[in-house]
Amino acid sequence: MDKKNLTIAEARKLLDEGRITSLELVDYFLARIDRYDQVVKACLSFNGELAREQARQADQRLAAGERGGLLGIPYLVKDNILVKEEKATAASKMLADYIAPYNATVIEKLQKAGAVFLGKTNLDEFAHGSSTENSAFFTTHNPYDLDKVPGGSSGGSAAAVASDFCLFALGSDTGGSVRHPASFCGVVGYKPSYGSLSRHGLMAMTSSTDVIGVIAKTAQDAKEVMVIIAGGDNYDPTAQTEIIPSMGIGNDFSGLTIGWPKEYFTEGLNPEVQASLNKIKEIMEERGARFIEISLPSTKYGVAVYSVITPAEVSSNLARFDGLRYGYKKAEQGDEAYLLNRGGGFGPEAKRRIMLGTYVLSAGEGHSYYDQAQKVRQWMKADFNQAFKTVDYILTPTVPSTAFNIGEKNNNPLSLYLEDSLLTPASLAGLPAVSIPSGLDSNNLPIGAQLIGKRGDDFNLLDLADSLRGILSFSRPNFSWE
Amino acid sequence: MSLDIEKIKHLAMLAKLDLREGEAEMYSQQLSEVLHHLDSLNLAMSEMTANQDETVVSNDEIKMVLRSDEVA
Repeated sequence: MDKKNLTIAEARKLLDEGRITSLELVDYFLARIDRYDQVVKACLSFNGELAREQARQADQRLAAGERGGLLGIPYLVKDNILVKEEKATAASKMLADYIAPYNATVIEKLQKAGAVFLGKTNLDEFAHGSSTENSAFFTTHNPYDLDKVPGGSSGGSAAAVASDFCLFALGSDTGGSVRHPASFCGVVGYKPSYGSLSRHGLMAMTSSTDVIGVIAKTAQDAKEVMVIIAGGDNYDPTAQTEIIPSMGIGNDFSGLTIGWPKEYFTEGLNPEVQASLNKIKEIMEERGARFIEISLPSTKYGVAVYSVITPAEVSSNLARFDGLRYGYKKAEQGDEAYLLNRGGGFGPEAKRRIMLGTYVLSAGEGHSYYDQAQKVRQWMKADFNQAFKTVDYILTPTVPSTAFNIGEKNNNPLSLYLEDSLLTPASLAGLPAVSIPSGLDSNNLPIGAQLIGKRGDDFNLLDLADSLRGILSFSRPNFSWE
Repeated sequence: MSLDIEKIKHLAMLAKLDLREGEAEMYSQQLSEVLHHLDSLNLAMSEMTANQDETVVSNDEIKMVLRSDEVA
């Protein structure tokens, strides 16, 4: 049985037909992690014993006749999401030894469905970054070219799915952190509508945009996972967005109107990315979709708005980490304890964001930035609302270029913030968006395309993304390190 | 606008972050560059059309969820 590059859908069929067991799948992925993760460095921790135990339970449920869903499907989790009694480090020295006391709601739901937890993946510290270089432990490598970054901040999850270490991985997307690494690693990265699932057990970063997202090999797989993890609970009062049911978008796109926003196709766009997007447009038009050029003039301010709102909320959300009850501790009491524990526990990017956030939330000169950012954010939402009066979906590049070298942007935080220029608008407006692999550039690095939908239209968005899978004819090569 | 070294040290004190040797200098340079980019928000404000409602009510159109007011 060739288990290479299986999708959830393919594994599902094999499991349901009794041609493979969950335990065999788990052993296959654990062996790959064991053998290759010393090269890719996608995982922070894994628990083989627990995974095999869960797989045996899933196999018993299968033997008893249960079928479908995610029963017996192995997955990895970004290390800012809590799994009970497992480490949850957020890739920070601050939480290097922290053990989660409870399960995130999405983990509860996955466990109930019988999915099999394999381990935790690397990220930029507290999900701050676009390269996974801000991890306090090590940098994850892009499986397509080990000298390149995997993108971020869910870089471990994206690299793991691309490297065939699991069938899907959870990430979190605050301003592009699922879509960006998915684009760089040639996999599907889905950011749900704001409020469509509970974030209980996700370490809060920017509460007004944070969502848990899914990284998988296909959009159909991402949808299978979302079907399980969607919905609210009593712990996250913002989880109130209902997802509307699929209307069954197939291969015929007639009747669909797609927006082509000119502000996403500017001079800075890499010509190969532009060509790839042009090709998708052509193919979709051949299948009956109508394209219209639209204007989203607020787009160019996305990074500026995000660079104010995010630090502001980060500075509040990270105020809880002081090392007194848990976490990095250098001193026991007094003002000195706060200073030393926080100063020693947080890395440079977390510190930058905390200080910038403190600045824009202070009375006086800093605060005008915050006021302005909130107003421009409203404008951004209005821009999208206006566009969605005439179009059903919006097609854009995910990132203006392909993966860059490790170390290339290390000392220039602003250049890393600008990596998210095409990703922050959908986050700030709370819209669902998905990045799909759309080809390879001349250096054999993946290119990503982004589809953005209306709030709550997640399943149709994923159906549309999935119907492009066959026609983009993208399949991953054998990696140099395999 | 820029954030000079003294301002960085003040912010670090407010945020309870002990800075090591050389850190304040580095953050001053990096965050001043970021602030320079944020000045584009002034442009955004002038580009926003006059008839746009600038009142920020809330970040999201959510209903408040309250538990029932009962003694447990």
